[in-house]
Amino acid sequence: MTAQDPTTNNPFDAKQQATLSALAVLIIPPSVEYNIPGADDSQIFENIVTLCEQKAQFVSAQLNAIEQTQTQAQFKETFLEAGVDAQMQVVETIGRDSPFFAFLLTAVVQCYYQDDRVLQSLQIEPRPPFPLGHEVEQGDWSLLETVRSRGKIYREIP
Amino acid sequence: MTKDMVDVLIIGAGASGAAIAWSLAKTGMKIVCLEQGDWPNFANYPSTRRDWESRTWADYAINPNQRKLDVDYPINVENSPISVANFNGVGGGTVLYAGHFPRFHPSDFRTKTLDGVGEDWPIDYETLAPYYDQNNRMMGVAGLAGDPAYPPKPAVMPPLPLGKSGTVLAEGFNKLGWHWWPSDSAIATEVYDGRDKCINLGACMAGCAQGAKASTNITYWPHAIRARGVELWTRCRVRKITMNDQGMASGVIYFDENDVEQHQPAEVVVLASNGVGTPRLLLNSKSKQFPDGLANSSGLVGKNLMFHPYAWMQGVFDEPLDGLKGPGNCIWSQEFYETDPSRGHVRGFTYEIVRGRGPITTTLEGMKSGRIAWGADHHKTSRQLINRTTSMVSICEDLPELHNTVTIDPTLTDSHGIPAPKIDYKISQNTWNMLNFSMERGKELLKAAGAYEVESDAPIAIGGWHLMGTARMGTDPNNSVVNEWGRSHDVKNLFIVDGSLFVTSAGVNPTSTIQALALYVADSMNKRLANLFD
Repeated sequence: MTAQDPTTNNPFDAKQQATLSALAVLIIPPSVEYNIPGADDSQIFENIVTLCEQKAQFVSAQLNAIEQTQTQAQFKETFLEAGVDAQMQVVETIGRDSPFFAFLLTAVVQCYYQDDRVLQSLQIEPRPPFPLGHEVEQGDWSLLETVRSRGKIYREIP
Repeated sequence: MTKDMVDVLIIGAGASGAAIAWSLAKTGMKIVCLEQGDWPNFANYPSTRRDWESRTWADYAINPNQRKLDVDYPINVENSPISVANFNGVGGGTVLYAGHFPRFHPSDFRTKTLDGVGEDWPIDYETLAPYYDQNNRMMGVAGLAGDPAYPPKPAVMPPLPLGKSGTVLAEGFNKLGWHWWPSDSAIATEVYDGRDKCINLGACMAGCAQGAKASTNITYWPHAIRARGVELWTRCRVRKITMNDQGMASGVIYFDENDVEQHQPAEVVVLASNGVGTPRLLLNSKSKQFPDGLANSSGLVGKNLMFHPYAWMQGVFDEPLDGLKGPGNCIWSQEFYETDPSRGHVRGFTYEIVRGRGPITTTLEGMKSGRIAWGADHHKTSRQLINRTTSMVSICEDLPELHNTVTIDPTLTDSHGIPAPKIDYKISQNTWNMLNFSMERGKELLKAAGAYEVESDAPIAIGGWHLMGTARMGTDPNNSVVNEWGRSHDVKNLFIVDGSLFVTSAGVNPTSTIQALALYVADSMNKRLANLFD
């Protein structure tokens, strides 16, 4: 196992971070079509690591298992050496709805869809809702005429 | 340390505690409300920050077991398919609710007579109608008069906008000839009573930073505490209601903001702690006189818990809709509200259109369901959903059943060591039939509105927003916990004003009725002040 980075408080060592990064980009890869990064982008990944620190022990153990045991048993190579298809098979073996991947998916999606570049590509302004709020069209209230013309529908009490 | 006697001690500063404090304030009595949480801090609401969606799973989660703030208490829900949602602080559940504000219907008070199920209420719609009106003015409710699903009722301010989502679904309802109407919503669409108007933040259920949504910390409480004699003490958690030798409540034992145990004597004790907190406190207040829990000679404290199981339906559309913009409240339908035996169930439900969701929630739910891909197809599939879905829910009437209970967990406690509640709850076959019917009809509607893809699910597992029935009202002391104006049959200076009072649940959100009941109980007390304990 590689040593934890002594220059930061990051609880994950370099290999664990590499595995975590590989999993993140496996979930959400970059897109040339939309000109947006994958979830392994350094800014996004930094936030993913921060969220994973909430369950550092659990995440570390899972990353070690994936890197050292799971993949080698299946494919005779490490997770980082494996191709995307083999990596995805590891995910499926563990289960996408397993506690680890349920947690990781939540962390990855939360961090990815808060990134300015990603939101702008979706035509969503990268800002908090308050204080500017949003415009919502009033709509056509004449649509209610159909309902009005039908008359009352509640039940009278004898 | 023994403190000075107060006239009225209210436990809980949420929807009902605020309403009764305000109403009783005009008597000039010395009123103290004990609230286990804090005043909400608007500047800290999620919508003020970029990570607003994420925080709805963290410090602003609706589930106290997930939120785990020090003011929260744990709830054992292992034996329930639906978990409890609440907020512990001034405003209570109104801080995190959507603000849907429907009333009960006349038929909701007569389910036994009309449909042979549940029980009839000891009061009727006409009794509560003036209190509904008064409460709507106090909370500031947006809506439109003339809803044919209700007897005539006034509107306080104009309805929330239809938006793109409301428009396409309204067109769908019209194609099918089904009822729909703008939802009564406790959200200001005009500047009202010191509150600013809604600017469509889209984060109503994480607290409204604009102050447009009517939570009682900004509606009733500012008025109530301006009155002489009314005090609200925060971070005060009640452990037990105490009794005297005459069989009357003598006050409460509580932990103050410094975690020091105190006794507060009171002439009258009012429980306003919601349908789980109230039975918890009564069952934790056992004594020699009440070995099965305070005010529990009927054995019904904690029984007949009703949740309103929800079904959820979503349609995917080609065109962009509202997405995260605008309040979740929009329009509702009560096409299937009243009983029709041909549907395979008795009683009925309300559809509420809840617009769209933010990109994180849309993507997470889409990936969990398999609709949004991992890997290479992720972006193509996520873009098919983000800003292009609209959802609706059905709120199904839950009938009272003795086996659905709040009891005291034998081991689980809160941070003060007070035993925590345990929920045992099963969804009845009638409700399942209703949920399934509502999902099928809901998908029919979404297709009529133009959705090219629809999905549904039930129950909403996190959707235990409505906590009702666990100390119900009635005229028969053997079949109810409190009388027809909220006073305990057993303890004549003990009152209950929260959702515990409900005899049946109706198929609508309960806050409007909870508050109307609190105002009605307050008025009943005012009228009887000279002989309140007779």
